[in-house]
Amino acid sequence: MKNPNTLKKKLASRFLKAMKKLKYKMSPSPPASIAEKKRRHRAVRAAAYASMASAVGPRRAWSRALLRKMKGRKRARRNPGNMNTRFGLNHLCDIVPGGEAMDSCSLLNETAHYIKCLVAQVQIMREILHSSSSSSTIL
Amino acid sequence: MQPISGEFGAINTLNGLLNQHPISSLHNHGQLPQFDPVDDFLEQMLSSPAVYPCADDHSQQQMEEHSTSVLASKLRQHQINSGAAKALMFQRQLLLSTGLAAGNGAPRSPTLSDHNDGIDGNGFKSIQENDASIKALFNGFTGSLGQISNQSEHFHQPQNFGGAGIATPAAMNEATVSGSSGGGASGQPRQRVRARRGQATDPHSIAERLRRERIAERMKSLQELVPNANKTDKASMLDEIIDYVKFLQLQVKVLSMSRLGGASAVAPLVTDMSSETSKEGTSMSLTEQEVTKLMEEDMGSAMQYLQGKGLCLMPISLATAISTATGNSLKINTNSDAQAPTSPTLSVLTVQSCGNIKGDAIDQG
Repeated sequence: MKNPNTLKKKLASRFLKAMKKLKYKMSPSPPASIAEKKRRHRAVRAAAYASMASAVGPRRAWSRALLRKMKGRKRARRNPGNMNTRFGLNHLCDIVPGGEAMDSCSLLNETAHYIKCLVAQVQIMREILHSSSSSSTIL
Repeated sequence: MQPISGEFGAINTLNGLLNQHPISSLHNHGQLPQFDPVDDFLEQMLSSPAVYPCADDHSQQQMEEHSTSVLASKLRQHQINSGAAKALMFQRQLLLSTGLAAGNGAPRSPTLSDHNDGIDGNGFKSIQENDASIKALFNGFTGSLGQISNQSEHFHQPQNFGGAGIATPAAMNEATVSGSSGGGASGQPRQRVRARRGQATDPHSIAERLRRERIAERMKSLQELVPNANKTDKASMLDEIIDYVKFLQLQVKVLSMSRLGGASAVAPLVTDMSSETSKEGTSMSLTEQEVTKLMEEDMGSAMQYLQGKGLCLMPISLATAISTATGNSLKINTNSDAQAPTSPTLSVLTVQSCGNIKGDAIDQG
């Protein structure tokens, strides 16, 4: 469906922009307390998911659900004849964002796309991490 | 040649044709002139249900394949709609068009010899097998749907021998044809379903089947994405998928923790508060332990942790070279046992700032 290279580029650019925003918000010096650190972790993770959702756009149900969560609106709980109890999809609809308001068929579809995007996001974060760490070992 | 006025008329002319030119004559693909009267008639017949959008640059063979697929789909449609006579007509058309394809295959394109031989062989097989069925149909032409469906099944099997290439465009064309005409009982775009279409009128079961097929499709595509996808059981496959998604989300979490620019951000993951503050002698061993722990999971986080303390990694050879070059009293700790998991040539050199190596006094950080 989606060309992996274009997806990765999109995700990377959005994520880096979000990280830059974060840097200016947070204190530049390393925070001392653990609570602050936890806050930073959560902020980075939220930035990752937000950049993922905005890169995908409103085309996918899971990205729409994520964006709704970010904006703080109520979850759109519409169950069109909930057939999720079949085939043991109970747990899957809890994990994939916006999974309750979908029928089994589209839930599997959304899961596939969600997995693709997650994999790309993880790869990008790893690459950023490695590139930053390797550059800093230059004496 | 009389034009196709009514179905009965067409069938009579066909009957006459078949009796005049016995099927064996079609085997002789060298004798082109024999085909001409058949050709004209067939072209007339083929042009009438011309639904397919034939571009001019299509090769003749392709056109005939298209026509056979369209005819096959129309045949099924009409069988469903219990148009017995029309079904028969289309059956004839299909047969003769495959016969035509088989016959015209060899003389037209000698380059595609393999393809043509395949079509020839299969076409002849189908023609031979269907000769008897046609005669039987002619004799017992009462128009009962059951008979036709039987014959259609019998007909389908040799057709399926007759080329996978025909099958797939048939499946695709069926979807369009059924969509356009709003086919009655069967809305399924699948050629493999062998159920008696005339009798499988239960919409619920068909919808169920469709749904199950779609879900199976999606599961297959998911299987390709998720590693470790050799499980055949659907339940275990689902469990695998769920675990994989959870694992990916956990990876994002861990990466976001270690991703932060400040190196000391890594510390609270692994260490307690005491080792963060710089200490004297004993801090080195603690630091080494933490570094080894971090190095086991991710080199990047280990480097960041060291940086936060103003430390870095360098090979022993370089450290000794620096020590001999500068001649200052450096304390170089070679922790071969601590570095054993990674490599014996690495050591931990303490420098205050990574830039100053040359001549300045390098103290322990």
